[in-house]
Amino acid sequence: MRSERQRKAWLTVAEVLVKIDAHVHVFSKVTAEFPREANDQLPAEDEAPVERLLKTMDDTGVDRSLLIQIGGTSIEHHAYLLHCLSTYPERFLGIGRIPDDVDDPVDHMDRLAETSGVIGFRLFGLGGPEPLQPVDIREFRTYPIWKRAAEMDYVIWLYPRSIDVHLVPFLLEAFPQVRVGYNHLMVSPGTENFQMENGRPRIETRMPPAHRQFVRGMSRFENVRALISGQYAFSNEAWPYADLRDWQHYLARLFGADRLMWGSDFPFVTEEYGDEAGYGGQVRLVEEVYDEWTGEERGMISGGNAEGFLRFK
Amino acid sequence: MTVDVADGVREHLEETGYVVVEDAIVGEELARLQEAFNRFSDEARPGWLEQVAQGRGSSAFFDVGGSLEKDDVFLGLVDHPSFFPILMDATGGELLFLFPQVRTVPVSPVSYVGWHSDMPHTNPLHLKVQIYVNDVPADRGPFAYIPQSHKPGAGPYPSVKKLDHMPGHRPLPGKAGTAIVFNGYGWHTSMVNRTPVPRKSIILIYEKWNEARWDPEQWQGIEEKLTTPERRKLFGIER
Amino acid sequence: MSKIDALAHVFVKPSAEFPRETSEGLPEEREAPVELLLEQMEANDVSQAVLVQVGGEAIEHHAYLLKCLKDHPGQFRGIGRIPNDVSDPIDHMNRLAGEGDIIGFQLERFGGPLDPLSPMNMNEWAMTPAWEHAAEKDFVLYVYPDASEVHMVPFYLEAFPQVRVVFKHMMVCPGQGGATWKDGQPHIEVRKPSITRHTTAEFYQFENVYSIMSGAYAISDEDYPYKDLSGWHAPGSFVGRYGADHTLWGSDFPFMMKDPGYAKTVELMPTLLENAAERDLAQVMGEAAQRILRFREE
Repeated sequence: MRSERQRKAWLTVAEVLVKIDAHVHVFSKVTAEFPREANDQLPAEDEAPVERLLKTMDDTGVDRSLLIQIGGTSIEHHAYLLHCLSTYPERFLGIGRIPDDVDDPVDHMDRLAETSGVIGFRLFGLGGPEPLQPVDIREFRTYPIWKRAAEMDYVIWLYPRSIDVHLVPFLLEAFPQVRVGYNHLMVSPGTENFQMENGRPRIETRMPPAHRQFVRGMSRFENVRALISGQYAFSNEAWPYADLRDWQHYLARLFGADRLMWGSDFPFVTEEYGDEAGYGGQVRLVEEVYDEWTGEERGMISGGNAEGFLRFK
Repeated sequence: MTVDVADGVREHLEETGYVVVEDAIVGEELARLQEAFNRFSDEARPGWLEQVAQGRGSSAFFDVGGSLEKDDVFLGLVDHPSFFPILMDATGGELLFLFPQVRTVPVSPVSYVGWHSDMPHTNPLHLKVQIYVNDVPADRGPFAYIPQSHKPGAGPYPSVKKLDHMPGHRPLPGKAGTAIVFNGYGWHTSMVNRTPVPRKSIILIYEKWNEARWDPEQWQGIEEKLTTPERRKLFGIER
Repeated sequence: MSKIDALAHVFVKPSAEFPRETSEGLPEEREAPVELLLEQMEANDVSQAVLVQVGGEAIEHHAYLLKCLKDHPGQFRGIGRIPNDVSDPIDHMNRLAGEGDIIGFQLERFGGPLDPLSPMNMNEWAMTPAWEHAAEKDFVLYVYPDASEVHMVPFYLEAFPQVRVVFKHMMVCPGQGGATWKDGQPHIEVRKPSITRHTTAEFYQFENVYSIMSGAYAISDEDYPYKDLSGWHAPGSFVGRYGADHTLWGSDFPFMMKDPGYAKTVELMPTLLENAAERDLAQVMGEAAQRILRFREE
């Protein structure tokens, strides 16, 4: 039985590490078999099928990916995700979604996680009070979700809005055993900053983010991982997004190379969405940003950490 | 070999890696066990402290040696009816008792052991029974297990700095007399004791019978007490 | 980068100017003056060192240490000693640290109950004021606990998590009679792996705890390069789990000079950690010490 400690031994030995994209989306056109929500970001006729992802991965040497549910939160909206996980179990694991207004989030989580491949759930709003209000996490709307995640060892894939960031440390402290993947450079945008451009997100945000003090505090919780992803949405420059370099290095100093995970946010980084660097650019991004780090450290960020943390077999 | 175990017990052990038997030892038997535990611990304590002072014994935990020779109440635990059928069922009746640990764990801000698995899957099935001799509430350093971590291919499990940061772990507090049967392939630990009361427990260690562990001379000191064929086989006196 | 020796001792023969105690390991005629250490350091590209007081714990016994620190500013940091029976440990610490280059103190005993099953009330332990003062003044504590006292250490680590605590000699904690002398060299008799690991292995959760890879010559049952200790440095070992940035190297000069000598002692860690990444080895050989003990770059 292999322990993560054995992989992270500080006496390093050169080895080829697996490449894992820890944040991708796949979706089909809206059909009876694969119903989903349709909106401006995801029109009904749009698709990013898993076969396209697989070819892209194979062309660029990416071994596995974490599929993040998109296109709705109800059980039926997960049909395409579940199809991909069951068809290609050796290539993917999945993160589901939970409706904000579901009566029984625990039942919803367990039903999705019953299928092999769904290992956790993405959260945006946390359902707690505004800053400066008294905090009792048991009154948070998402408290049962975190509690169930602790009981069942589900991963929480976190992308809170700026108004909710102050709530995160309370939850991390109450549930230190929950594995948390904090999305997109740990930037938590304000709702008014979120726009669509060429069919993909464009987020105006201060850099470094206004909530960076929370980011520093959250780095002490050892089951938190920072996703190195989403740069295209925040940067004011073209690839390799030089204006984000300092922040990415700051995250690396806080968390260490063994607690960062790379993700592309496919398909929104492909030529279809107007991205000049394309998926290949995303695959090369870790090498580019962390050019002063060792090959082994970059390899951990590019997949070794995800393999252990998310338990890709 | 089929053994009569309660409904769901076998499945729970197979699926999660452990089974909690509440009230395994109760009443007079528990009182007698506690009295013997305390008496022999008090007797052995000066010797243990001497070992600690000489750097030959750990101060992190204190085991009473030779317990099975000292009092039959300890011997009676090895095949206690409250959990013995579970062990026999799990090993198809091919069970070998290895040794006991009659253990007191002093209060400390750190546990005397981190998260670990006892044996790799290449080892014969390794089973243990943790019996609480005093009450072990949630803050008195209960035994803890990661459900399903005993299964081949489980993990990997991180090297956490704080024990309660281990993803998926399950602390198992219990009253005195609780017995926890667990699969030694799985990851387990003792949580940190935040009370002023040391934790007292008895750990019994077994394996599925195997040649490498069989030592017919190991229990010769108590051979005259092993009067049934079942016990003689369990203790390796006979094959 | 050049190296930092995190554990060295200097002393001269006792005199009116530099009084010191004598003992089996430090007889009257024995001396290891700072010039000898400097010579060895220069020959082996070691730029700085930590001088740990030997030869007595009283203020006057520190006279030679204080002179060496004053004569070689920036090159050394000093670790003083506190008598077990001093009535005012805080005053003692302040008087020694007043000059600035004594940055901390070595502790071996803590004055608490030797029975780990006794009630543990740190407020009643003799060395608690020293820990409190170390926390207040940011002194470093070099710790080399006796086996019979190690159970008290986690209480201190938890109560004073801000104190930088450096464990000598690979966190080995010898028992009574475990340390002997032969031909001027100490020998430390301990079970391998160390019986106290059940306690010390868990200290890595305290982020200001560090360990010095020193004393292998005294602990090992084999000749250099002491391969019987290699498990303690290996990946996943209880020392390895601390990480390179929490691990320091120290020679224990002059007590290893006869065998294997300073040069081989400097080479020991690179030899045992031959598969280590260069940046990890750089941490152990000096970068960690520079950061933790706040040496200015030479």
